[in-house]
Amino acid sequence: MDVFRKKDVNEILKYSSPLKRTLKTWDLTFLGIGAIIGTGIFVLTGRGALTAGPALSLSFLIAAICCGFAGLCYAEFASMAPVSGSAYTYSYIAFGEIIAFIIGWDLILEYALGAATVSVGWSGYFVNLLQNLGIHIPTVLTAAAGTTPGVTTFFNLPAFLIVLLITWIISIGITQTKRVNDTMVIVKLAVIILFIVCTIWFIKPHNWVPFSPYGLYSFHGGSAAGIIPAASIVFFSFIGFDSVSSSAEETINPSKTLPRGILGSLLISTVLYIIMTLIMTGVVKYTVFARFLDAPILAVLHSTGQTWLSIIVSVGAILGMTTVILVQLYGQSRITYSMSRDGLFPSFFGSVNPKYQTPFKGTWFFGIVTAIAGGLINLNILSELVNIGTLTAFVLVSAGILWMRHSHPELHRGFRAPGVPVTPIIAILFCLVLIAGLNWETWVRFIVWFAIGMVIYFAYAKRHSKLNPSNSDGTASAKKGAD
Amino acid sequence: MTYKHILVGLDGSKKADKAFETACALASTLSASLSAVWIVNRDRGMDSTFGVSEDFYQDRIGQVKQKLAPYVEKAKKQHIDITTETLLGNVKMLLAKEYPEAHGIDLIVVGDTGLNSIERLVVGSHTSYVIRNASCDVLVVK
Repeated sequence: MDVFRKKDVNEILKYSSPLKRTLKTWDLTFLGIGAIIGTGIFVLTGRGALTAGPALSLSFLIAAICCGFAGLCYAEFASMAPVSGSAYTYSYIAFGEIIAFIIGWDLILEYALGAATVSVGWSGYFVNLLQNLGIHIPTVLTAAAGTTPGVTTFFNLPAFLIVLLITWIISIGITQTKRVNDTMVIVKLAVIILFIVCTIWFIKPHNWVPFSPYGLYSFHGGSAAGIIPAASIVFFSFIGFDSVSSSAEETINPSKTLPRGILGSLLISTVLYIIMTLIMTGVVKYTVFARFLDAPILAVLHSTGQTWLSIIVSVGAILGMTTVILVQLYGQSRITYSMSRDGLFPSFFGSVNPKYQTPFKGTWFFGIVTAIAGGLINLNILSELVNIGTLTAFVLVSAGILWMRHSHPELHRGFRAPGVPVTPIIAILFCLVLIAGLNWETWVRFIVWFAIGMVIYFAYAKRHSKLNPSNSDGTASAKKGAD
Repeated sequence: MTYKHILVGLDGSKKADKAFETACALASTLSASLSAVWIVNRDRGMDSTFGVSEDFYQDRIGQVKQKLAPYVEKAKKQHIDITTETLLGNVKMLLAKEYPEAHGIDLIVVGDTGLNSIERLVVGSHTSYVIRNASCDVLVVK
């Protein structure tokens, strides 16, 4: 069947340039923490607390365990071909075109909506910061319609503008050096530790009763509630940790270093998350977060009256989230680039601007789409879709490990996940549990997204694919599409 | 003293080509060896999930390798001892420090930056970074 046609490994090896092995355990841990912290904790703890109450701390633990197992599988996946490449490319080699297309299509959802979700949180902290400085933006322009019950809002202007600004930066070729990145990690960690130290004294233990008002899983007011649904929501907080896994080819002694890096960064961020949620739900009753959906940490600081601290936290959150949006939009432009190169997307998305050396048009296309999504769509809807997309990608990757061990045991693997087949099976189970914890509307939206992807695949991608025998003489048909 | 190992940074821009010509002329008069390096900028800070940036880098490297061929020919015609290299990494660090130190470079020739003032503010000029941070002499071709 030609939907399962595969790329030849040697074709990819042609351009490979071996990377220097330079990364050690601490580099990986730092890389992971930098990628993890900055999204969920600043944005989604409010929604999580409303869903699970103080037991949200356990939800973080469940999400972290899921990520740990999936991360080990992904690391093996990423080290399978002896060249650097993406999950999308590996699935093209290993499973064939249609699976690769599905993963790529999933990742587009993850990046575009991930960036939109974070931009909404960014806006929440930005508006608050301006308020503390005495500048007021009209309320109707601070959030998408229907975000806060009882408040009329139309459009999230700050979210819209920040995405466009970052799109422009990426389109002209950003050079965010490793040093800038490391500085950001320290700023984020410092802000979180400062928050912990300054607010822990305001905990009123009676706020922790009842600890788990909705149990493991229940229905409340028409939507899923409890520890597992909350874990499905805060799973978003760990997205990005797998950038550690894709560094296998640059890691010294990966079979030891990689699990340590993955587990180390997960452990540190989980501990911080759990302490933070316990503090947040201890200082204010969890129901209060309904009014602070975009910027939950500020609910706590309002209650303790530490305006000075809320300014520092806002600045830290804004800086942290800016880099997250940057990385997400960057990933977005690169995955569509890869798909366009292989003929699965129109070559519009793959054309590289000769001056800036970036996929200029594709960057702007998705930047504008993301900006509009961040401006118009409710945060709740956005973040759940991101999670289901990423969880599905993890299921595919973990299943891929099982399948490849069985069908291609001889292939070179820079890193072997410990405990196969148990590890991928646990990863798949956890991912499925988290998917089950999401609301059914999310499943429907995801199935619609998936269906659209399949229509594009069969109507466009399958015929225009570079692997289609009738295109084998070159890229003629794909090029025609762009001009 | 005269220069023995000259490094020229290429990026496909006209300014860089001019720098290449100057470097060739210098290498030929001084009988120095010439290293032409084309760096594909890669950002550790921008690594995102599922390794999606990797394909882009690998493609760029493949294309750059092909683009380097005419430069080698040009230099060979002038009987210059030329080595070319395609590197993946942080342009600023590689050009200013890592490559020159690893290969005993004593002169770096670069083209003036092709960015306008706002772009320079956001992206930062590679050229000015090299001037500030290189440990050997730098020649900027305008």
